[in-house]
Amino acid sequence: MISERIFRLSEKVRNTPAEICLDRARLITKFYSEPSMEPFILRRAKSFQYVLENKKIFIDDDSVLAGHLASRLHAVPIYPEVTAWLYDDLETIDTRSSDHFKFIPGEKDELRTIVEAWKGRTFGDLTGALVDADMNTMINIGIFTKGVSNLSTMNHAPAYYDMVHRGYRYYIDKCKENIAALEDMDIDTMEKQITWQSMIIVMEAIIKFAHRYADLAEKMAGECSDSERKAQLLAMAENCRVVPENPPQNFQQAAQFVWFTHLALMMEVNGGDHCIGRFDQYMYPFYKKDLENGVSEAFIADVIHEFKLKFGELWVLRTNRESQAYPGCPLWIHMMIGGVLPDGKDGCNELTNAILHCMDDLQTKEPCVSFRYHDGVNQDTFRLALAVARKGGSHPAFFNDSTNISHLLTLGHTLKEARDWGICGCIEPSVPGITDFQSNAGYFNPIKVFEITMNNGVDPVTKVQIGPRTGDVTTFTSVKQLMDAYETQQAFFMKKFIVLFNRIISCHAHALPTVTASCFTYGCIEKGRILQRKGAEHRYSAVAISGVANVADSLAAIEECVFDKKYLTMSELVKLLETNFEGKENMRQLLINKAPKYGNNIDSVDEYAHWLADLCNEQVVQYRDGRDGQFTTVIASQSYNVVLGRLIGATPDGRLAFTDLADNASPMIGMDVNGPTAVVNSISALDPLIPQSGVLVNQRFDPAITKGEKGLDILETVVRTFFNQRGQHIQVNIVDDETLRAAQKDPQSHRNILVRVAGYSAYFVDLEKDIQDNIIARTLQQTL
Amino acid sequence: MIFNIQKCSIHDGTGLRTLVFFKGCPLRCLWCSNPESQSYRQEIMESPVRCIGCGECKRVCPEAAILDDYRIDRSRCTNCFKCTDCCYAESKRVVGRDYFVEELYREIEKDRPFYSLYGGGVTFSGGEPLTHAKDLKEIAKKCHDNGINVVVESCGYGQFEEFKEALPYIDAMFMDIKHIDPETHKALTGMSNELILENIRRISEFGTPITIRTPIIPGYTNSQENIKGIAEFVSTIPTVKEYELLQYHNFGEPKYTALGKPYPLKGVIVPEDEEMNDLVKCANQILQKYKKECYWMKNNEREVIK
Repeated sequence: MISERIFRLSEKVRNTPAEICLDRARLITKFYSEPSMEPFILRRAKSFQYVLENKKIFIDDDSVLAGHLASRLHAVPIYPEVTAWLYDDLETIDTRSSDHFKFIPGEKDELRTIVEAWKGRTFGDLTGALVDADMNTMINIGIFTKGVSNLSTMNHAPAYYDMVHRGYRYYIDKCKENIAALEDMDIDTMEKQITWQSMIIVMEAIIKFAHRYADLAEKMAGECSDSERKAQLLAMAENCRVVPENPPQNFQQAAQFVWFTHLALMMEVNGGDHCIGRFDQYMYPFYKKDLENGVSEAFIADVIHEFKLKFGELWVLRTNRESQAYPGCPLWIHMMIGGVLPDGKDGCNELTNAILHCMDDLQTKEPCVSFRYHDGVNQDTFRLALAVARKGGSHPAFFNDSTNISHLLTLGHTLKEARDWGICGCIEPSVPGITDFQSNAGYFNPIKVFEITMNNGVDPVTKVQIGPRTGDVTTFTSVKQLMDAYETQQAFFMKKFIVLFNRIISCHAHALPTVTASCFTYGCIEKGRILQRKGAEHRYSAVAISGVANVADSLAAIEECVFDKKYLTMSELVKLLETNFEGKENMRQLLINKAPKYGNNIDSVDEYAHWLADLCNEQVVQYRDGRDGQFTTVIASQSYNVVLGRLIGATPDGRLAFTDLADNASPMIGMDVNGPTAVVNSISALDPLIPQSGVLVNQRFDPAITKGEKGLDILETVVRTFFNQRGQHIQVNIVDDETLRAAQKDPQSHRNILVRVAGYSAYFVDLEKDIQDNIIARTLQQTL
Repeated sequence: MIFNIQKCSIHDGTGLRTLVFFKGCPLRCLWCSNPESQSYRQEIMESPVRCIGCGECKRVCPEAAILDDYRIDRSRCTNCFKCTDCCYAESKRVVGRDYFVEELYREIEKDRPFYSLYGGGVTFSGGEPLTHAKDLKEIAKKCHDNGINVVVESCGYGQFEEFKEALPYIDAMFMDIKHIDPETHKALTGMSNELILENIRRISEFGTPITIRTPIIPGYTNSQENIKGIAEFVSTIPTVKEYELLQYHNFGEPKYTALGKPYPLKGVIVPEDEEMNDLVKCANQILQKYKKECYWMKNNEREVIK
């Protein structure tokens, strides 16, 4: 049950259409129109200070937590100084199919003027100029994407665990002490001084920003006749005077503290996948103290709800292409719960349960609540988390402590640090407060490289010789030859990809610092260096690998159908791919049905997935990133499997030209016909210990096996077993009636849905329409 | 011969289970939901929704048994399987495959990591596993010896002297009694129930825990007399603690079409929850005093009405 106030807030967030807010764009443009010779870091700090001093603020009638990203509810700010693409994509922002935003009448024209003023001078233009012509072709034809070129570091994980006990004033004092201790000046100490000055400016500005809310709340309280609301406003004012300057005194102030800090990260510069950290740990002392002081559980629950809704309200403006790759505007703001403590004991507590109960009552789009599992996890809390995930929304997601901790140890963290891990990006582990992590070095797309390998270095879609000549595949006599050729092609493209990323990340150090995040990441204040200029001790960047299943299935199909059973020759296969199986559907069916497919726990094909994951990783980790950090891989695509699929012709796994690729680490759509246990066994065979930034698994479950306590036993069995086999991440999706209806229309893509009743089995798509309707009716009934 | 291996199942035994379906059954229950399980030989199943209309089957069929819509004229088909060989879309496919015990075991073994929690394991179903006595014994022994929980689902119709060798390796059984009256049983399934009841007694004497099951088929098995009669019988069997009623469903119907057979139960409707509850209550009135329990499963939860 949620309170009426929370219900109203939730409805408001859900029902307010997302709009563009020009407030920040105007202010930043005005700021940069004033000439200045100041060092760029100081200038960035002052630009942010200017925004915070002048941006429009409001307090929503139902809020007890202050602060919004923009000047109106559910509106998004613009970063015209950063995003070069805005020039091209502006016209369709309000009309595009995915994630469109409304303008206030007249403001689209105003934005056009602002964008014109920045044209050719944005950060995106700076990075864009570093893309060589051949790299540009590689991006355009879908070999890889260009990460973080139009934003700054997108994965901040501040040291909230210490910050909530210190307040900003502590960090300001540190900076001041450091400046006072400076004696001789050289160019390095000058950088330090500039850095500390910038940090002080930004922290003071955020404190003042909070005071603006305090003033507004007091003013509104003065005009308020409702005594309950008046009290809320006065408490809010008090909270905004205390935090973030000082350590919070209670749960609500601590939530307000985190929210202001998170908002500051997002308002300073674009890039939104910042991590909230181990919320159930650092908030627990406040929770406990409040309860001791007589605060009710219901009050705390309301604060948690509102806190989550604040994140749920956050949207960002992305490019047209990204809006299709990330539909629904996910931001991957992870709130970590559960998991081991630095001493190895279980961290589940009453607040963990309270958060899960809140999720049970009300799911929000953000934050992503991520549950950390380990062998000794509190069984009741784990079962509660599974029950909440089963109910819908597929949250919390489940992460395995042992695999993630192992990853972080191999990245150079101590055991105690590693045990305090959180997620930045979609599934990538890092240690909050001490790490500079880049989750989006870009997506690398092996199936495109495979397509080019099949064509001796030529992209068959554009007919460009883009890769090296690795041989005419029609002369190949073994899969091994093909794999060798692939390896050469991939090494060639991977190097280009890495070189490009390192150019971009170097631009961050020289033009686009994140001062707020630098204040709250250890190493930066100590060294007097901004995060982007090697401020943090730990630095790593993740290269996302997409479409693994398509490559594995293609290799298996060639092995089985060409070299082993000789159903067709390599020349015939190449011809089929060229013509997109035109008039040869039976041969496509042959490739689909006569060869094993990844996701069914069949060694002969799962081994190819392992080979590819390992090869990608080996080729990536040999490089250092531009900040002298490490590279990692992550098997993940988000919805890029759809976007990239449009650029890739027919493939030997029987996939038609320009259709979707397999998503993340999942089997190809519809190809896993042996249920969840077979899928997780295949993924285990890929070896989730290899990609140090994770393996993304969305596993679908039939509603018929997940109902009731017994169904929960099954979910628990699958998740525990997967994690015992080194699984890193799994999200639980329950098949809904919508999926079943889609299966009626498109049986081919849904041939894996089983109908299960005692002693009986059949695939859904094989049933007659009326029986299917009957099953849909049952599914509906069961979920109600 | 095996006609299907289904992973991640939960309705037939404790925990998460791998279901292995034997092909071949001596009974011919009118409501059989797995008609492909009846014959002891390979058969062709058709799935028109998968057909891509390539016409290959029509070209290769030596008996001209493929009709214009690519369906099989079963009166002409000799099961030569030429059509299934060339049907890459698997619209026509062979159902039934022989496994070596080792090979079958390896397939079951793949799911072993999932068995340890909540008592999972393998369930042999069918068809009638007891009529595959030698194979059943071998695979059950292999599983049992390797610490995998073994459950068998059976209609009870088999030769005790043949299948008794398998009993030491079976941890529990689900055994059906479709009807308590021998004559009616014969009319509904093709065989009388005397051998079945006798086998249940003897398996129980051996010490195997048994759950008795009755499919509730409106108009055929759903009379209170039948359920009471079975419950009376159940009360006399020492190792039976549970009696489960299975709610009829018509999901088997498309399989009859796929095999080119008529569906004998056309028009029979699924029994209401209320009727299931009433029958469970009826059985429990008898079973209670013997500390046995009747239930039916709804949304994976036991519905026990007393």
